[in-house]
Amino acid sequence: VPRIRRPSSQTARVLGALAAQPSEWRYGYELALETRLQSGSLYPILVRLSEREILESRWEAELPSGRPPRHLYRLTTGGLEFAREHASPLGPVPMRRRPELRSAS
Amino acid sequence: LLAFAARGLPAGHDNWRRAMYNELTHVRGSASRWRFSLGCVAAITRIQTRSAVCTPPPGTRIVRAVVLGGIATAAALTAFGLERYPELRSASGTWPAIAACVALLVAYAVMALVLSGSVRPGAMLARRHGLIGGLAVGGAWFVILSPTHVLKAWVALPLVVVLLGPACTAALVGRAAREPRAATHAALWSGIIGGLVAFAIWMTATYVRAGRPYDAGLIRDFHRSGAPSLPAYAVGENFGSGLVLLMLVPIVALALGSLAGRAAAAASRT
Repeated sequence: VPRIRRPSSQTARVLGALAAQPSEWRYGYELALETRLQSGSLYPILVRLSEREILESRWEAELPSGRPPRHLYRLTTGGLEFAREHASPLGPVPMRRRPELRSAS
Repeated sequence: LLAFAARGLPAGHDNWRRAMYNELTHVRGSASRWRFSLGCVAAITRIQTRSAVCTPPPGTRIVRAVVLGGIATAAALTAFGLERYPELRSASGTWPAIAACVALLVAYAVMALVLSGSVRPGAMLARRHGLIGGLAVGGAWFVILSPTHVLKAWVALPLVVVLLGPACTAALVGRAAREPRAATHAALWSGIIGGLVAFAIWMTATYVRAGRPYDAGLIRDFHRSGAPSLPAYAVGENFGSGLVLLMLVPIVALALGSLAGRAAAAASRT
């Protein structure tokens, strides 16, 4: 992992969400709901983490009917070390968000 | 909306364009979809701006330096006016005018960043010619506002350059690149650089002459306004005219330039 300055609080929340289940592949909308970040903040963070090799990505293989594959993300080995050092634990997700999270998964 | 905005993502970000678009198809509910789409548009803008600032394409350093230098000069001249003529700070209309000036300068910076993001041959040609066209327009304004009689005798020529310079630049680029888009970019570059140079010259001349000449109409308006100082009043009026220049120069350049550029591009293809 290239040398990186201390991440912002929003980036630390994304790292926290990814580090909570490091072996799972996560998708963007799910991360947005879990971290309570708008897609406008989340995607630039994912792009930066990906460019710095903290994050690896792949396309979804098993497709729901007629839908295009989602981009999935998880931490690299080096990224997991970095996340353990810098991640913020996430607070509870507000109730109004939970139904959307279930419907999107 | 998302597909249109994603066209602006820099090269090498195709995966991210597809990632956002595909993710949207999985989001349920109209409000959530709108929120997600608008967020993605904001994300694209942020990614685009970061890429444009951090990794400028080759051949854009000079044109960016000229535009950013022009913006810094315009901001410094505005601040100087407020410092030199403190009466302006309490005059009605000054702060809305300052807000308009800041908005225009931000718009100039955004346009320059967006326009300098492309590495297509047409875009590079547009930047090179647009820089020359813009400096020519700025030079013409210098001659128009020059106090010397020698230069005054040539006032008709710079007026022609101001009006037709961007159009000629766009026509040259349209003919060489054979694409109307490159011609439009050249016209806009001419307008951006010409507008900044014109504003800088206009405000410098205003400060050097303390807002003179004070014509009869200006003196009458000054007495009616109840303003405490004639020079400050005249400088404030000229600042307003400077803002009009800052707005009109790019608009005129874009209008005339895109017409001329399209015609030249069409002629070169036939």
